[in-house]
Amino acid sequence: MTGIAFAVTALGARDVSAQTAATSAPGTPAPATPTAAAPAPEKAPSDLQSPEQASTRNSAYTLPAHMVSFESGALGIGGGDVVALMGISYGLGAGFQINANLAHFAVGMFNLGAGWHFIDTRYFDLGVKLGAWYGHGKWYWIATPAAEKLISKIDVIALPIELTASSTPTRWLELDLSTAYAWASFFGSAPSERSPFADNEIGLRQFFLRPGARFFLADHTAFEISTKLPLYSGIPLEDRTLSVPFKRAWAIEGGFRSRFARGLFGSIRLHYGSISNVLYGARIYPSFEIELRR
Amino acid sequence: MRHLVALAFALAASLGATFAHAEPSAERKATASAAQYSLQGLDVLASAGWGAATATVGDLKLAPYGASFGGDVGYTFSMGLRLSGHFDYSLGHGIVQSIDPRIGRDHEFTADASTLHGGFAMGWDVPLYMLLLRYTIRLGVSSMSWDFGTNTRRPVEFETLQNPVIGLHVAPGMAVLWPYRWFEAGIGFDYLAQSNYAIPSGFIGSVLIGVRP
Repeated sequence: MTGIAFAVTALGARDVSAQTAATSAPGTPAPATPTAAAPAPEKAPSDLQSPEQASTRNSAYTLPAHMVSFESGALGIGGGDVVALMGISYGLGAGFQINANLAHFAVGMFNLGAGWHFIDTRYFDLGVKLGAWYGHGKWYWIATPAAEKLISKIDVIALPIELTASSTPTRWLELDLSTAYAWASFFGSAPSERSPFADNEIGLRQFFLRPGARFFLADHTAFEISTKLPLYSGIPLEDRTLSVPFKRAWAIEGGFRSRFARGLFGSIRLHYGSISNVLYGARIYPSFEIELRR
Repeated sequence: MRHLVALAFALAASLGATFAHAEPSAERKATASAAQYSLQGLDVLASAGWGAATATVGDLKLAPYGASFGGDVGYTFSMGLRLSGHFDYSLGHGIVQSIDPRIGRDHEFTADASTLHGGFAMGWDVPLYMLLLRYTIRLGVSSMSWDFGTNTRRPVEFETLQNPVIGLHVAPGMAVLWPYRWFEAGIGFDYLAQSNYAIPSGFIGSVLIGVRP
């Protein structure tokens, strides 16, 4: 740990104040020197690479200390934001955050996630994210009648872990690379290979890489693209694991993320992959998300 | 469809590279120019484009989008929030398909469909240099008219359905507009995620022309 701390110090901590000054909105008054009589000037909004605004989705970053984020969206695919998103995240400080998708609680998928952004330098960041899921099939009321009958007899536990490296080599580019493993297991009396839990990939044992890139078109807008490359995917059955071929598990997504107003962000993405077809009946599908940070 | 998506990504990536390579001073000037442009006000847009279904209805392939025309009237608040109403008509086209029944001879028929869409939208306008990036989420109703010919038995998916078939849709979309005084023009897309299984979801790309009175 001391070695890591030394390396972080040697590489140099992220200079947020310099970024903020360099990307302040044109026309914003320059920050005046605070005096005892004058109130502190309102801080100018910085850019999407700053810790307060950086996307925590598929990146090494976590929320700054005491910052809370509310996310709302729909039509997502894969794991945490599948079908509906009503998420809440909180930055605990020291690079730690916790998060949960409350929308999934409503359909019997209880979940809690945690993240730790443990290497934070000017050009390179590393973070780890952990999750714990318990899906109670009987409460998954959004399944079709046929699937509902099947899923009501099974429960699922999933424990995904993801290590992500993020790098910002220039002011307009961020590169991300995730390595993830998700462990899952089914309990119950029905065959699990055809369940919605397997379809939405929460019940999948999977090892995958996810390279991605973000192009910062302006201080408030970025184009983001990433692809999920599974090296191994399998559905855990009672006596064996049913392998899922690469062509049925890989996916690609691309979209825009913008800061609409101070603390308010929006994004629209297009997803392509077999999972979109399984969940929504089309290989290409959109998703949207609005995030409020305070 | 794959070509369209690839084209969109390539366009977005090239836009990103172009803007990002610009000198910081040029970026500031451009952003300043956009910031001087007032977002607030009413605007009326006409659209013309092409749409494609991204899903099938069981084994049945339908093309209820195709050439599409529409209108959109909205009001943008100074903060960027835009509320609007829209109405579109997609001409669709026929697709020849074959049926291989368990009993009887194989036969072919043409499945023709067209769609009307209307509803409300909430969006946000984000100035991007001299352009305007518009995020939208449409909520509305789609009405799909279908025709399988007079001498054909209806496909099983449509045996009990009325004509036209009606369903709700959610449509995330984006547009890039170039506002110039009272005029604006650009390109955009909407992805209609249909709630009624008999109406295939689809993607409509459009050219937009409008005025800001």
